[in-house]
Amino acid sequence: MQARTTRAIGEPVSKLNSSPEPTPALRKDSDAKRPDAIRPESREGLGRLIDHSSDEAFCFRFDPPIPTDLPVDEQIPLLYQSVLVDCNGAFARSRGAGSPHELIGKGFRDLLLGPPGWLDGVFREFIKLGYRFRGAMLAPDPDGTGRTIRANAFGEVRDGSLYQIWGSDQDITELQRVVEENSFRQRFQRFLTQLTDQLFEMPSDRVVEGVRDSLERLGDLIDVDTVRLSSLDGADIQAVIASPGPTLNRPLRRTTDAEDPGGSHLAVHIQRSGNAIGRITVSTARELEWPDERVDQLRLVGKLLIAALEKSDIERDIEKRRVFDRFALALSYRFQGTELADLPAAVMAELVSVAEFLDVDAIFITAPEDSEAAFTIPCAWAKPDRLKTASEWSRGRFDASGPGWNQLVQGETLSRGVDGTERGFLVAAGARSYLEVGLPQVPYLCSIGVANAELTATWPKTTEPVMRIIGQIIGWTMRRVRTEGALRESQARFRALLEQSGDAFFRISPTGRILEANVQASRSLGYTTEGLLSKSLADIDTADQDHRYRTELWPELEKGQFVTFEAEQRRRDGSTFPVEVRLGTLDTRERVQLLALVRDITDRRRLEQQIVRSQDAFEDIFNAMSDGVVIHPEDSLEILEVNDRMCELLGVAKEEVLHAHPTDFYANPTATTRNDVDQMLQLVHEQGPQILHAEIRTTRGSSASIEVRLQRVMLSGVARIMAVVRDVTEFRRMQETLIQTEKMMTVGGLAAGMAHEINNPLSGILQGVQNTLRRIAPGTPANQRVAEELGIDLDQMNTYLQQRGVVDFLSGIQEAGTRAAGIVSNMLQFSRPGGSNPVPSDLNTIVERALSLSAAQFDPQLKSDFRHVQVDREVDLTLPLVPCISTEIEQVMMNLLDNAAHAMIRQENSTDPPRITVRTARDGRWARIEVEDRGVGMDEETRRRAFEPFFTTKGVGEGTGLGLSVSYFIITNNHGGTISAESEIGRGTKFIIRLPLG
Amino acid sequence: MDPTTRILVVEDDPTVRLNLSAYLEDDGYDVTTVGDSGEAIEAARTDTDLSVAIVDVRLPSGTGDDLIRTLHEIRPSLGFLIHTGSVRYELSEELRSIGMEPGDVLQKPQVDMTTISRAVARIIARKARGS
Repeated sequence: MQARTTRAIGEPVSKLNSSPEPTPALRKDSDAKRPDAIRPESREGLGRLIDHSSDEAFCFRFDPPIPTDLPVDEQIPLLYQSVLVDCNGAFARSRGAGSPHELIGKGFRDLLLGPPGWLDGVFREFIKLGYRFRGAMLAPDPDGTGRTIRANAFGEVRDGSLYQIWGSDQDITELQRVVEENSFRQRFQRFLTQLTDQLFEMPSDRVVEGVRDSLERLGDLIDVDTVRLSSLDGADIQAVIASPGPTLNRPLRRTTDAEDPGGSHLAVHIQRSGNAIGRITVSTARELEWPDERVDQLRLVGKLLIAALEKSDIERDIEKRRVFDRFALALSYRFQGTELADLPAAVMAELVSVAEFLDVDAIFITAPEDSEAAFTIPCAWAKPDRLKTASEWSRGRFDASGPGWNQLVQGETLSRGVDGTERGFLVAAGARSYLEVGLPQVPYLCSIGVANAELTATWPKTTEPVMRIIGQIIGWTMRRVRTEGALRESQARFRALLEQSGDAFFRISPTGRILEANVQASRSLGYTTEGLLSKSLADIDTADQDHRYRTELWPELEKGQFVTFEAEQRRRDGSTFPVEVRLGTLDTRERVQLLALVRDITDRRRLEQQIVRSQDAFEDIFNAMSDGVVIHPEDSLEILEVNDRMCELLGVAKEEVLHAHPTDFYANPTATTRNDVDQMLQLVHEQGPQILHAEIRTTRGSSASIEVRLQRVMLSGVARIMAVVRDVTEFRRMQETLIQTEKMMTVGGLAAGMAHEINNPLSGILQGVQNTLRRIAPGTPANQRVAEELGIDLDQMNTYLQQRGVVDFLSGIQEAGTRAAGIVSNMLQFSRPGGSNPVPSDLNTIVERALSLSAAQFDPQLKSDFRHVQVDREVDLTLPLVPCISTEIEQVMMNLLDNAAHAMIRQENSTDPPRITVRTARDGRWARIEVEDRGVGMDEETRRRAFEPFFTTKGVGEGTGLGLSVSYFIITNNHGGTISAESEIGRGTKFIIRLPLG
Repeated sequence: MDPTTRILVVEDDPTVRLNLSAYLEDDGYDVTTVGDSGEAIEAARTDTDLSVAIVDVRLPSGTGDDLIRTLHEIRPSLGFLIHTGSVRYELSEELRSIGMEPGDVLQKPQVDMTTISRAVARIIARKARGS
């Protein structure tokens, strides 16, 4: 590689002063305008000054003088042919002479330091400027190192010829270095500022590019050829610098041999909190010595860049997870309500989207030959332009045995190239590699696999878990579809939901026995699923939580709240890891069970510890965290600092948050809220980290549930309170839905079973009454005949029965029986399989019909009738058609409207006119209907239980307590939608229905 | 109405059984009641004039579906009505293949028993057309 010199020796470096004026000290006598003013003493003094100056001063004479009209190129060689006529001590010393006298009369060439011709460039400049030169240049030294010289020269021209040169040289190498380093430091500082500004605001998918760009700019700045950054996480980014920067790493020994690879390298290890996190290496082909500070500078840049990469990794992971969560959720919703006959088409359609999601060429499912799955679903799909579709692909059944089968049956994963001995359909299709995941815990599948037309050595980290979950969703969907009974259906959905969450899930008996656990649970603890089920809480929890349950947790749990705390779990091999546990109760009316969702927080712990330990990495990580972080002083909850995520959560600018109190952002603060929260501070000091839950306002006027972990930390040696804030809105909703679903399915199943048993006796009652009424009626020949045989007058008997009220009693029995039959028929809807099929319908029309039906219904028990209620409609006329059973949605709407009217009638002291607002809107992939009233509202307990069968706040005889539960089943079971309620005591209630758009 | 039309009621609940037979007798039918499948098969073998059987689905000695299949083999001319307390009962392919229709399934409790009368009359008419 050709050694690159940054600037030719002898080239002017820069004009220190643009003025071509000669210095006064060298001005020729004859030029002086006021000769009288110059006295001989001062002239002599100046001479002495020059003699003793550390600058080299000299005068060379040309003999013969050089005609100034010669071409420049001819003058240059002549300029080297002069003789020294005078010099000072510094000039003599630099040439190894004791005094100037030893040198007078010597030729210019003999006194020239450096190779012949090195002054050509300067001379050219000198001639061009009219025999004047003032500027800096790089000069060679006798030992081969470079010097920077500030030179001043003035040519004396007599009669059109250059007669002699006066000049002085000053060695400013050191000065130049200091100036350059200073200006470098400034540029470096600017570079750092830009780096932090740009890099941390960069979208995560562009960070690698941004880092490379930064490395290039760094290389440019410190003048090297290549810069390479490698992190321990596997990132390896190299930048080759194209354009030379300013001369900074001055060559110490010039490499003249172009063949000598030589060069200089500097590798700096980057550490954080004493742990190596990566390395930054710079190289240049020149040989140079690195300034000491370069190491620190590189380390700083490297640390920032790695932090930026980590941040983008974290963000990408989160983003990927979000995308997948949405995808998996959509998938399970898509399957929800699918009938057996539609399942093959649905699975096929989803396999295509799964393949697209995973970016693979083919996807397949295998099932043992005797399983029903083998016959009921299409098992594979391949991108037509990538792989041949062998006949086996669509035949729906594969030979499931062969190499690797045993591993798959064990639930393991195979990732290999297709070698021709297995998976014949892959060979036939021309696939080169595949990844296959065994799913033994899924009832109807055995494995799900993906394949690529090219050899894939490393599958993305996410592919396997994604397939596992997709496989589980499909498998469980098949089971759900195949299995009769709403209860079992819900469990499958429940499981599928849990499997997606990525958290370990446990269902625990009151005595601590593990009743159920998901795959994540057994995997994280190192047990098989069966193995885990034989364990109890004490086996996996390192601390004895028993006492804690009784004293701290139980009171909260009993209120139906969920509690979050941190604990430690023990794996089967004895190792432990930190976890965050969310615990809630599952009250199935039969017995109370605990539901625990457990998240491995090893990574989060590490991050938190890094923040606490390493001050300089603090800023980076502070803003990179996906949780909100708030810093308080030690003794109050004044907000001193927040990170970007926190501002994002609150939806306000940082300035609005600083110095505020956390409760300023609470959604529904009460008089004591601030005090209650302040008291947590005391607990932090006394008992260590504390967790609290709150509702905060967000920008869109809605509220978010947050979970705050308060802990005391040392930041730069100062004690602070750090609050890590996580948005748990989604989690809370999911938990609420899970518990609700579970509860409703259990209660619904019980109710349905009970209803069935009641139908027989009810038949006896209703039919008995009808027979009785018919047999006492006069006019029927049989009645007449028997009466005559017995000598009874039927008309007379009827008069008696009517007078004594017997007929009324019978009518009473019939009416009561009919009502009971109605209730039972409602209850049976809980387990009713989808009777009719959903038809694309206009929700606005359905809503309108329900409104007019409600208005037409006059309920004598209501003090004011529905016609006096003002109904506001805020409907979205662009709403697409929604697949639904319109009579059922109508039934739900009428139910909600009836409830709303009731709620407002009971709001007796309200001055507002009764008003119901009905809204329809599109909400992503959902259609939303809202029914909002200004009635009495519900307390939290009522809101949570509102959908339970037989739970009613209406008086006896006013309501059966089934309206909302039937609505619930209609929306969730028959339509795959959701229904929820928001309410505030005294302000009103809003019911929200979401129906999938298809 | 043909007074000789004979109906078999297969129902294990004595009250329901009694009520059904009383109502149908009042309609003018000749009603035989039995409490389980064995008795029903016995009745079908001995009584050659049976026109319609009203069958409960849950019986102590097997399902109503099985019983109907057996009765159909013994007496192919027999028409059937199903009277069940389960809302989830669906007519099987096999029962459809012997000519039963969704309207032949009656839910308990029948708030208005004229529905049963109409169903019986409809089956008798259908059988008359068919033969």
